[in-house]
Amino acid sequence: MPIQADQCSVIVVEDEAFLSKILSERLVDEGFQRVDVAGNGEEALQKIRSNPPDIVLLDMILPKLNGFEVLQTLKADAKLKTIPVLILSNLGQDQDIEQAKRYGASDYIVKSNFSIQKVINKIYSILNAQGRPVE
Amino acid sequence: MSTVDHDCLIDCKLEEASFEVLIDSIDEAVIILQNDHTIYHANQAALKLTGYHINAIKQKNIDAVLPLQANDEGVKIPWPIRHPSNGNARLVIKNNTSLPISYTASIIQNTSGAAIGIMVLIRDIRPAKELTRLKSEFVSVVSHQLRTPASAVKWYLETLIENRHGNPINHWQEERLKQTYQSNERMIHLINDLLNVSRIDSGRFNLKIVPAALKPMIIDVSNELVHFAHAHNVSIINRLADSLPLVQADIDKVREVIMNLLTNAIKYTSPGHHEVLVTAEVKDPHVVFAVHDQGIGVPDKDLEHMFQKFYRADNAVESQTEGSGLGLYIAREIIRLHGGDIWLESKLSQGTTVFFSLPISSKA
Repeated sequence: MPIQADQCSVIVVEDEAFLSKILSERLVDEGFQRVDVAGNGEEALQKIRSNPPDIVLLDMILPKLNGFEVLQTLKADAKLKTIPVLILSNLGQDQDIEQAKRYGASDYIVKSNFSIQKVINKIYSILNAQGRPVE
Repeated sequence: MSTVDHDCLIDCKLEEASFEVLIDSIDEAVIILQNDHTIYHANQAALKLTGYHINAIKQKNIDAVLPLQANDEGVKIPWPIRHPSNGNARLVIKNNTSLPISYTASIIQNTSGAAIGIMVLIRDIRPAKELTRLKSEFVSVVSHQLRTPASAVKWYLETLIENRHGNPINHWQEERLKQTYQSNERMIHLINDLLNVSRIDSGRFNLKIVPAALKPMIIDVSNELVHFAHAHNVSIINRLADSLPLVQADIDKVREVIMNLLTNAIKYTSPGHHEVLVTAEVKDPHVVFAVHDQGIGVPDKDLEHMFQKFYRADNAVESQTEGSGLGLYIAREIIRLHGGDIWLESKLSQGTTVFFSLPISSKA
């Protein structure tokens, strides 16, 4: 049984207000049960810890803590390490992608090369591969 | 001593002194070697570059005092003594440090044509390398910065065109929004191409080569281009045998090559022609893939330039088909990094075939 959006929560970690707004609006439209947003790495960790989502959409270049630091912190935390992290970044160098995957990211999307619909499809495919959402 | 001999000696000494003054006045490092590899003279720039006093190296074998190491590409060459040549190496200087250099070596002959020595011109290439690195870093940073607003434009236009919020737009508006979307897509494509060129030119284009089957990837790319092909009234026909051996390839990078060649084949297909054909055949030790179109073709005068950066054939420009002139350059560099080759055959107004070869995997 495929995962339904209304069973899942998501956090958009993005410092570019324009991108954060359009993506979170679209996720709400899609029917996600809860859509959180964070504009920097510290805020992201705080929100993820207090209310763990089913998937994290994580930008790489962020104020305070960058995406790599957020990813490493999540993957080192016994309670949070199973939450899948989809990187949405415009840093598309091979070494950035390899490093993110080595740190445990589920996948890496270069934002400018993906339509929002493709981002949504990727979220579903990661959630389905992950199995039931975290209760 | 006769007057004649005396005059000759003065002439010779004057000639030698003038020669040294001339060599010393050159800004670039010059070392004169004798036939037995000993240093006859080093100019001021050479002494400054190597850190030595002239007395420390004069009449010493150059391999003993200024040895060469392998260049940054790992190629080791000896000091050129007998033949004119040029190349890159690392030069070991005083304090046992080394620096990247390029050199040009020329034979010095006497009046009867016999080789009496060699003149080596040495250039410190650190500033050139630093410039390449800075240029490449600049392109990377700028490209990343450009991608962010381009993503915002892409996602907002996509949302407007999809009209998910029930605010209807009329046909006129929809057409223009779609054209704006396509323009933004072209800009994103150009940014990606510039990033690729920057990585290639700075030697940071790393491949992960593994034994790979290309047929499923080519079919996947063809499927991805179905709408684009349909809009141009073109069908993509794959004639690829299941029995093709595996090739040594970085599948993501070769995918970019296939995407580029198929996109070109579709967009340059003339009205009334409807097929783009993909074939492959084994030509041991390679598999040669080919993308054939029935397009506008390439004029003979443009053929040899088609893989140059930013080059576009006149008829491609005249046809007002969008393109940056970077796609084939990137494709060639990717294929060459695989140890393969890429070339094209074309007849004006009849069509073009682009061939590329990839090494067969020994694990196949």
